[in-house]
Amino acid sequence: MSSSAWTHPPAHPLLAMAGLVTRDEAARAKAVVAAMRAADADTAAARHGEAGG
Amino acid sequence: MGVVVDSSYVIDLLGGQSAAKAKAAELDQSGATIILPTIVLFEVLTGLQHAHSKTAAARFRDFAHACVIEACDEHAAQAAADIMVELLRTGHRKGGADVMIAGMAHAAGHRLISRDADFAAIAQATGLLIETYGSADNASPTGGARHRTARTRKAYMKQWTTDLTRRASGVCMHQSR
Repeated sequence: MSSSAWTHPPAHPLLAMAGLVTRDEAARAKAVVAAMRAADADTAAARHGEAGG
Repeated sequence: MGVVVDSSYVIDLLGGQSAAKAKAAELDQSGATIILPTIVLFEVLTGLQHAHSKTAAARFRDFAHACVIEACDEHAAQAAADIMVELLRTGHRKGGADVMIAGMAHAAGHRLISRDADFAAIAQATGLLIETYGSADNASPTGGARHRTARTRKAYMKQWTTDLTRRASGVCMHQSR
């Protein structure tokens, strides 16, 4: 583990996160993340092309 | 060795998806250190808040401490740079967030839990161990190809098909369950 880890002990089991949001909220959040990543990848490719890569 | 969780997995778990819950139970039982990169925290909080779920975002923040929240350090940044250079050299288009997450896992020797096919090409380039959960057959690329333009979607689907073929051959991903 890196030295920059915020080394607080886990306060909950991972399973405690299950179902904290509705399926609809999760689907919408996932779409937002997907859009962010797609834009990020497209930008990386474009910049790489501009740089002659 | 710890386990790094990707945004796609965290959101599946938050939404109560059964395969993600089963994986969480397995990880809790194993006692593995679960690492939540700050980049993933950023992505998930953005997703929830932009989807007008500020209450959900607050609930998630409270429970995010089920994991060790870890920022990208200089070793991870170097690993991510190495990965990105290799991906660009081989014509793969991946976003910085994906590569930073992969760099964090790769630098520390952690495995990564994700069903996002974008990581298949990264695994191919780096040997990063990616662990999926449940059936990956219906996992769409980042779960949101419909948000791409027609041009990028076409290129992306071509890449996704290639990635899935590689995954099916067992070269870079494995199914732990």
